[in-house]
Amino acid sequence: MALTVFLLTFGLMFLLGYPIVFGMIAGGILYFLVTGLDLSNLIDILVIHFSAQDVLIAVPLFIFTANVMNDTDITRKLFDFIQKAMGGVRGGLGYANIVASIIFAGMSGSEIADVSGIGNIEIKAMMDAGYDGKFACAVTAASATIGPIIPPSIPMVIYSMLTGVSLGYLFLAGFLPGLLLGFFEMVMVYVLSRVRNYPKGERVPFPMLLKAFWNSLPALLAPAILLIGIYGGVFTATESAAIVAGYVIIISFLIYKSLGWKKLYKILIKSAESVGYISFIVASAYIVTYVVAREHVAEQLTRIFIESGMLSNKILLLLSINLLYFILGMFIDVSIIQLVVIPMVFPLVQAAGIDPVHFGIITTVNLMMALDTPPYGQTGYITSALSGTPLREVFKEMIVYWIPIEVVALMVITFWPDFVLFLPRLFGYAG
Amino acid sequence: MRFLKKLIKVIVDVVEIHLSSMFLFAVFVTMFFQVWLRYIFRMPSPQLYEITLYSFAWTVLLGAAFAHRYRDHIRFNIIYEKLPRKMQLVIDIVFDLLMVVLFSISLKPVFRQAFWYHMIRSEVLGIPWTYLVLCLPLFLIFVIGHNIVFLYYEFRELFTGKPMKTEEKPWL
Repeated sequence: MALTVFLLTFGLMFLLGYPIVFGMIAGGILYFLVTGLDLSNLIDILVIHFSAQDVLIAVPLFIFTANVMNDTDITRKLFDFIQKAMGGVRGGLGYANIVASIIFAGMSGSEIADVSGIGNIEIKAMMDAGYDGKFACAVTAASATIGPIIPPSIPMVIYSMLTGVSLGYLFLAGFLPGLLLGFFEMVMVYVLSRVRNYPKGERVPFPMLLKAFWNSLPALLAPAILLIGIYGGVFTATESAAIVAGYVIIISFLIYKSLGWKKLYKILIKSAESVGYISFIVASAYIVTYVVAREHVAEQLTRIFIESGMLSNKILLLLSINLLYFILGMFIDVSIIQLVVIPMVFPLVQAAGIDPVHFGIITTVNLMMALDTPPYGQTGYITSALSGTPLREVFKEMIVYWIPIEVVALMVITFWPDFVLFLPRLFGYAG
Repeated sequence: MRFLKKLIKVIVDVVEIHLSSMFLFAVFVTMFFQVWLRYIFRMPSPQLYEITLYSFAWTVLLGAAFAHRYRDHIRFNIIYEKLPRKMQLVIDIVFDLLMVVLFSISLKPVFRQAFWYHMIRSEVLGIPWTYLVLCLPLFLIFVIGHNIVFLYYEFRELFTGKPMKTEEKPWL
């Protein structure tokens, strides 16, 4: 009865477009009332339990860093250098778009920040150079999926918090899959550029290229500092968020001179609001986790899977989970998928003997693809709004060319665990 | 009346916008200096760590109230946007009202628990936990307040057709 009340309230509010966090909290409060639980438990769930997960502190800091980069000149300088480096190649701006996303990925950890920040610059540059809007939007949306696969990564932080898997190993495991996805996307750029005869960029004289490199060097150093810091044992993966934020602020103030106190304060305000709706959804999801645990939903699900014999077939299980993620991703926000689905499927994955770090990467890639898949593909909406290209054209381009290539990369990542776990093992991971 | 409205707006602005930003800045600064103190001066600072945790909780809860003010929380709006405006308004009214009722019911037990936590203190700085958890009742109050304002405008639009003006975001 109580579970039904919870599911009905949450489901109804969710389907009818009320903020998802309030759906979870309203469902939770009604669940508490029906079961006779004290409502004071809300404090334990929403504040104490949540703030005890110190790994989550990285999330506000990554959001803050991405906003600093986007609102100062850092993003523009990065893209300027990469664009010049790719000059003379057919479809050069398409490659530049992907490379810029890979480098930006090493600093921000958020796909939406990638699309709306550097994506804005990329789309404008591509359309000015004569690329069609649908291609510019689709390649921007697709390349942004690489962001949270290459560390740092907000979805990995949340996965680590939900499952207890080492964030450091997750970050390491994300590198090769992120690069693989980038490579596949470059192949697609190569093919489409030739078929559609996209323009070649202008070859830039070497001194100009060197100057652009010099200008972007401080920004290019940020991912290096992050990685050396984490894997050199100087700071933890969570602390790395503060170090990168500090570094980005320092170079914006002192080197690029594109940040003043007033601007910094505005960025803080903007970031606080984003933290409010991104991090609070994680806190509210603890109510779902609480209900799921109290009603033994995960145990019941595991029993059903054991009885069906699916746990003995890893391939079938992984395919089913990928399909589940894919379908949910078409309609539901990624944070909800992550917070609701992972607590339920993780016991299954463990019971089937699938490596939790490997599964973390599969989950992250799926979640990023979910941002591209219509009808709820947020990157499609953002790029369409930024470029003025009709949404239908953007999604058509995504469905025909880019989502299939992402699915191919996902299959490689899913069924080649040794590839994903190569770097973590190199750094001592025993899995 | 006008003075009272202005006063409430100033209080809400200070708490939601400025305080949440300050707490975010505190999260950043304390975390940043923890690394420096530990790595350069070999002096780990559990005090700073506690401040980080407290500031984090406050940033998130106040930021959540702030985001609600601009209706920026994540929602699944595919069905909602296909509905006629009047139906959308009815849905908003029903759910805004539900939230007001549920949050009002929760206020008393949440406040009681928050003050009960006065007995427990943080390990290093000895700050009562009340100051950590007080952000939740504040969040509830702010959301109730925002929803009452939303309800006023939603009813007005439902009966007169006059739409609500959107407030300009403070970072623009």
